[in-house]
Amino acid sequence: MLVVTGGEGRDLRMHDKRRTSHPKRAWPSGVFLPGIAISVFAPLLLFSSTLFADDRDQRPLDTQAEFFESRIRPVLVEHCYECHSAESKIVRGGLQVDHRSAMHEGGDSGPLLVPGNPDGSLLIASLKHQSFEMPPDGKLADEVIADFVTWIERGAFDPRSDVRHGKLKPVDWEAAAEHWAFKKIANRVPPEYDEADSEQVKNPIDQFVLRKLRDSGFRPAPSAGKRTLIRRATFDLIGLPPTLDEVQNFLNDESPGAFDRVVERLLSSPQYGERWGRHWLDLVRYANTNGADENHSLPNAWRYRDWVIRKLNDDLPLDDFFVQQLAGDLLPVPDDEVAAGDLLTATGMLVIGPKMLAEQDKDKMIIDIVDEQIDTVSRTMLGLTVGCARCHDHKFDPVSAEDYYALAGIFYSTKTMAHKGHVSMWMERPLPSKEIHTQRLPFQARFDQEQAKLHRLRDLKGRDDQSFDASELKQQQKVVKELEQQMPPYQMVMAVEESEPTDLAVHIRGNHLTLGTDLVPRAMPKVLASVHAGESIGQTTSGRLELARWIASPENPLTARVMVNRVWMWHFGKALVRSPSNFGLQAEPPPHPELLDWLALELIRNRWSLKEMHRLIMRSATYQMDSQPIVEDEERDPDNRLWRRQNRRRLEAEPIRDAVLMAGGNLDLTPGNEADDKDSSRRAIYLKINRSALDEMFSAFDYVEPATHISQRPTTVTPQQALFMMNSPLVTEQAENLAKQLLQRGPLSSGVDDRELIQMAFARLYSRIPMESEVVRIQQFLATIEAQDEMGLKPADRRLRAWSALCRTFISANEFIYVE
Amino acid sequence: MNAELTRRELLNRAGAGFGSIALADLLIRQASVAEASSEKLAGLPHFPGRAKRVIFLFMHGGPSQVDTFDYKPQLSIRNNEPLPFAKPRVQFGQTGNLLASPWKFRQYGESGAWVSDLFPNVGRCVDDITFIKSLHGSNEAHGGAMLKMHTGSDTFVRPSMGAWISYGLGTENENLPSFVTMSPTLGHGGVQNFGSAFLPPIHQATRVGMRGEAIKESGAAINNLTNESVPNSIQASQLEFLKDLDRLKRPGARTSADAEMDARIESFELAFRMQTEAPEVLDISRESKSIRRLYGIDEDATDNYGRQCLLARRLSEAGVRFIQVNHSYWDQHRDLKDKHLELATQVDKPIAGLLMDLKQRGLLDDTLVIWGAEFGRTPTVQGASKDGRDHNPHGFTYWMAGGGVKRGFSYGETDEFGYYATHDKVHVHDLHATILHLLGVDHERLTYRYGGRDFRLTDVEGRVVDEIIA
Repeated sequence: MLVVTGGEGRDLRMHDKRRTSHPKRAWPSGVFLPGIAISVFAPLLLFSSTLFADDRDQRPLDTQAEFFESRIRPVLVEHCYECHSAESKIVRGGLQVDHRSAMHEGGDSGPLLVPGNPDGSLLIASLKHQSFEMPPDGKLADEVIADFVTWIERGAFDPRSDVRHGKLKPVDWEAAAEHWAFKKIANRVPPEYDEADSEQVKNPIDQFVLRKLRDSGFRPAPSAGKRTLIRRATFDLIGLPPTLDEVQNFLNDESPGAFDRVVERLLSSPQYGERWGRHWLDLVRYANTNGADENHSLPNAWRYRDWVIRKLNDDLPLDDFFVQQLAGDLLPVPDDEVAAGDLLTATGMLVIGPKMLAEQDKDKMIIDIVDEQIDTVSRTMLGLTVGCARCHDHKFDPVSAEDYYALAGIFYSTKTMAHKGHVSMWMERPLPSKEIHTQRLPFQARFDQEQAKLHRLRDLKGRDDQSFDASELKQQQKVVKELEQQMPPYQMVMAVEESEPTDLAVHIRGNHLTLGTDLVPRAMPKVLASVHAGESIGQTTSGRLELARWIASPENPLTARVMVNRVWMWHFGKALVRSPSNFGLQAEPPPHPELLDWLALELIRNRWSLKEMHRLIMRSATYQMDSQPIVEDEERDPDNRLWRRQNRRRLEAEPIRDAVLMAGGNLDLTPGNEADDKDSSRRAIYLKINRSALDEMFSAFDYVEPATHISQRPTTVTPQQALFMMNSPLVTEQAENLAKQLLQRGPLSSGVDDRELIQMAFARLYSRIPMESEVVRIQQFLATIEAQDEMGLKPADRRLRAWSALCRTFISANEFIYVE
Repeated sequence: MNAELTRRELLNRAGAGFGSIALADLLIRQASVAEASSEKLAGLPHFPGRAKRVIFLFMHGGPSQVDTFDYKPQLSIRNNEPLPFAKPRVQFGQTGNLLASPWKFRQYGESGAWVSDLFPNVGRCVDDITFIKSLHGSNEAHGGAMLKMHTGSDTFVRPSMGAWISYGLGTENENLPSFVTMSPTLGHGGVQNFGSAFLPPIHQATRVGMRGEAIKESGAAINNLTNESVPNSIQASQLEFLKDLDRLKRPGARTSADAEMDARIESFELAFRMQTEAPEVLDISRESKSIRRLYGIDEDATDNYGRQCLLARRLSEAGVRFIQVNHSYWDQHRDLKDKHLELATQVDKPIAGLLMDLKQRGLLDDTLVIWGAEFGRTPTVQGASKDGRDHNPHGFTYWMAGGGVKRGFSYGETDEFGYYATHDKVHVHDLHATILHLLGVDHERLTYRYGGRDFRLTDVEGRVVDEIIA
C-alpha cells in the first residue's frame, strides 16, 4: 500500500490497492517520483497518478511527458491547431485539441481517443485517412502516425491543463461599435402630427408614440377617467392608494391643470422617496443581512436605505446620485458634517452585497466581492452584463476579459473589507460628528497611546519577534477595548475607502489561482471608451472616481438611456427596451428608439432631475390613456409594444402589503431609521430584509432574491399568493379591522340594505362607486354568510363575521392588487 | 407565434412567468395556473427516467464518513499517529493526529457492506443501497459547502437542485407544490438552499416547519394553509362570490390582457383545493400503529425525524417531486462520541423505516432516496479533548437507494485513512448530473436563459456516474 505526496500539491496524492496487485507494464528502471514517497507497508514501489485510469501507462511521468512534448504536441500545434484550438477563427467540428479534456471529449463526432486502444480511437483512424482525412492537406508521415499509436497505447498521457481556454470567438469590435445602444445618443426631433390628433398630443412623448400608432393603423386609447388616473398616479409615485379626500378633491377640481397638481402633491410627499427608493434598492440588492454563507446582520445598512429615500425626495440630480454611491468618499469633503456623512453613507451601495465571509481562501473572497460589485454596478448603471467576462471574453457582448480585469482593478483597489479573519468583516466608517469628537477628546490622547502600543505588539507577533509575549497582547487588547467602551461612539455607516492602487492580471477562467501573464491597467471598457473616453486613471488612485464620472457623464451612451428606460418601466409596467439591465447585443432593439434617445437627452437637459422626468411622462396623453383592452387590437399587437393603451399592472409585494394595512386603517407612516421585524405596521420598505430567511409574503409575491440585482419584478400567479389572501393573519386581521370600522358607521343589526356601507368600502378600497349589479351580489353574499349560525353566534357577531368575509374577498379581488 | 411552443416554454421564455409575451398564447390555450405548475418542460424528460421523485435526507453539519459508512481499519492501527501526508486545507487550525473511530464496524447483508454501530438499522438495508465513498467538493465552510451542494455554486446566487427539477419536470399533483423542504435551517445559505433564484418563483420550495420546530401530528406546517377563524363553508361561499365579482367587473370578451387576471381567479380555486388536500397528506395520525413503529414515531429519540420521514413518504406518494428532509446538527468539532451517537440514533431507525416502507409499497423502484451532507469530517482529531473532527470536503460519503441505482453496491474510495477521495472520484457536480440523469434529465440540456446567458445546475461541469446505475 502506498501513499504518494505529490510535489505539485494534493491532487497528485493517491493510493490504490488494485494497482498494487496488478502492476501493468511497470518500467524496470528510471524510477522517479515527483515529491516524496512514503511507503506504508512498502514491499514495492509503484508509480501511479490520479491522472490515469487503471489500464493506463504507469511509467514515470517525466518520461511520458517528454514523449508527449517531443513527439505529440509539436504535431498537434503544427497541423491541427489552425482549425481545432481556442485560437481558431472557427473551431471546426466542435473539436479542440489544445487542452486535455477537450482532447478526450472530442467534438461533434464523439470522443477523439480511447486511452490504451489506438484501434478504437477516432484520432488514429482520421490520421490514417480511414474515417476523416486529417490533416486535410495530406497524410502525415507513417512514423508520426506510429508515434500517435504508441502514445495512445500507453494511455495517452497529456500533461496539459484541463482548462478550456476561454476564447470562444473573438470580439468583433467594428460590428459592436454599430450597436444602437453603444452609439452616441442622437438628438431626435419629435415627429409631426395631424391637426386632427392635437387632442392626443400633450407633449413630445405623444408625438413619438402617435406616429408609430398611426403608421400601424392603430388609434390611441382615450384618456382614463379621473378616478382611475388618481389611483394610477398615487400608486405610481408613492406606492399607496389615494385616500377618500384626495379622490374627492380631484373630482371636485374641474380647473385646467388639476391632474398636474395631483402629480405635484405626490412628488412633494415624503412617501415618494419610499416608493422610488424601493425601485432603486432592487437594483443595488439592498438587504439587512449578509446572506451567503454567514448570514450576519448588517446593522447599519438602513442608513444607506434612508440616504436613498432622502436623496430621491430632495431630487438629487441622478448623475450626482450615481457618483456619490460609487465614490462619495473621494469627493471634496463639505464643511457641513451631515453633508459630509452623506457622502460616506452613499458608498454603502458597494458594501451591502452578499459576501462569503467564512471563505478561508481570502484572495478568492476578495475577487468574488469585486465581481459582485462589478455585476451590480454594470447592470444597474450601464445596463451591461459585464460579469460574464470574468471567465472569458463575453460570449455576446464586446466586453473582453481584459476589459473586465481593467474594471476589476478599480474595485480591487478599493477597500470593502475591514479585516479578513476567520469570519471576515466588512468596512464601516464613522460618521463625522464634532459633538462626539468633542466628547471623545478627554479620552483621545490616552486611547491613541494605548492603541499605538497594541499595534506595536501585533507587529512583534507578526514578525515572530523573540520578545513577543502573547499574554501581554491579550492584556493590551482588553485595555483598548475597555477604553473604547468608555468613549461615546461615533455612528457607523457601511462605506468603502481607497486601498493600494493595483492592476490585476486576467484570471484565466475566472480562477484567481491561474493568472495571465500581463497586468491589465485599470480602465473603462474599450467599446464604450471609444464613444466617450473619460479621464485616464492615474497611478495614485483606485480609479473609482474616474469611473463614477465616466458613468455619470452625458457623453456616456448607456447611462441616461438605461435610466429613462427604467423610469418608463416603472410608469408603464413594461420598459421601452424589454431587457432593462441588458442593453448589449442580445437586447432587442426598442420599437421606439427615437423616443428613448429623446427622453435620455431630456433627462440630461433637465440636469438629471428624476422628478422632471416624472412630470414629463405623467403629463403626456400616453401615460394618461385608459388601460381597457380592445379585442381586435390585442390580436395584432398582443404585447402592446406600440403603447396603444396604458398597461394594467399588478402591484409588487410592498404596495400590496402596505395597501392591506391601509385598508385596515393600520399603516404607520413613521419614516426612516432601523429596520423593523415583519410584524411592524410601518411601510414595507422599513422591514428587515433577511437574505437567508426572506419573509414568505415577499417571496410569494415575486420579491424572491434580495442577494442580487433585480432588473424587473416578475409577475407570477401562484396558489401561495391566493393562500396568503385567504388565510394569512395580516389579511384576516386587517379585513376584520376594516369591517369593524365600517360597521361602526352603520346600523349594527342586519336587515337594512347596507348600501351606504358598501359604497364606503368601495370608495376606500377601489376609489370608485359600485355598480348596481355588484351591490345586489354583495347583499346576497352578506345574507348567505349571516344566515350561517351553526356556531351559535350572536347576531352582531354574525354580522361582523359576514362583513369580515366580505372585506377579505374585496382584498382578494383582482381590483385590489391591479392598477388600471 | 410558433404554434409548436408550449405555454410552459413561453412562460419560461418570458422569464417572468405570467404577464408578458406569453399572454396571447395563454389565452388561446385557456390558460390554467394549475397547468403552469404541473406541466413538464417541453421535451422533458429527455429520456425515460428511472426515478420519478427524490427524497433527500440531508444531514446538516457534516457527519463523519469514517465513523459511519467508510470503514478505515488503518485508523485504529495507527491511532494517534501523525497524518503521513501533507495537511490539506481545512476549516479550523491545526490538523491533529489520526483518530480511531469510537464505533465498531460490522458487515451487513449479502453485499457485506461495512457499517458502524451508529447505523445498525440502516445497516440492515445495505443490500438496497449504493454507497458513493468518493464524494468531494472544495468549500470547507458550512455556508459555502451547503450552497455548493444545493445550488452547484458557492460563488453566485443560483437556483437550487429541487427548483431545477421542479422547473424541468413539474409536479405530479397539481394540488400540491412540486418541491417541499422539511425543517430547513435558515443559516448557511438559508432560503438560497431551496430557492428558485432566477427561475420562476413557483419552483422555490414550500417550507414545512423550521429547524428546531417539532413536526406536529397533523395540520398546518405550511404557511397560510389554514385559517382557524374561518370555516370551510364560508371560504367556499367567498370563492363563489369572488368569481362573481370578477365577472361583473370584467364582463364580455377576453383579451390577452385578461389572461393574467383569469389565471389569478383560478389560482384561488387551486389554493382552495390545496387547502383541502395538503392537510390530509400532512396528517400522519391515520397511519397504522405498525407503520408508526417502523419509523420510530412515539419513541423519544426518533419521534421527530420519524414523523418527517413518514411525511416524506406520504408527500412522495401524493406526487411531490422533490422532498428534502433536513436534520441538524452534525458539526462535532468536539463531543463526537456523545453527539454523533445521539444524532445517529435520532435518524437511523426512521431512515431504515422509510426505506422498508417505500420498498413494501413498491415505491422504492421509482423513488430516489439520497443520504448525505455538505461535507464529511477529518479522520484526524481536532481539539484538546481528543474527541472531535474538523470539516472535510475532500472525501466523504453519500448513499442512494431506489430510483434506478444499483443495489448492494459501493463506488469510489478514499485513501486508507478516509481523508481524500482518491479513486473514482465523484464531484458535487457529478452527483447533480447523476441525480438529474436518474430522473430522465440531461444535465447539459436543462438550461435557463437569464441575464443574457444560459445557465445549468452543473454550470460547465458534471459527469453522470453511469457505474452506479442499475
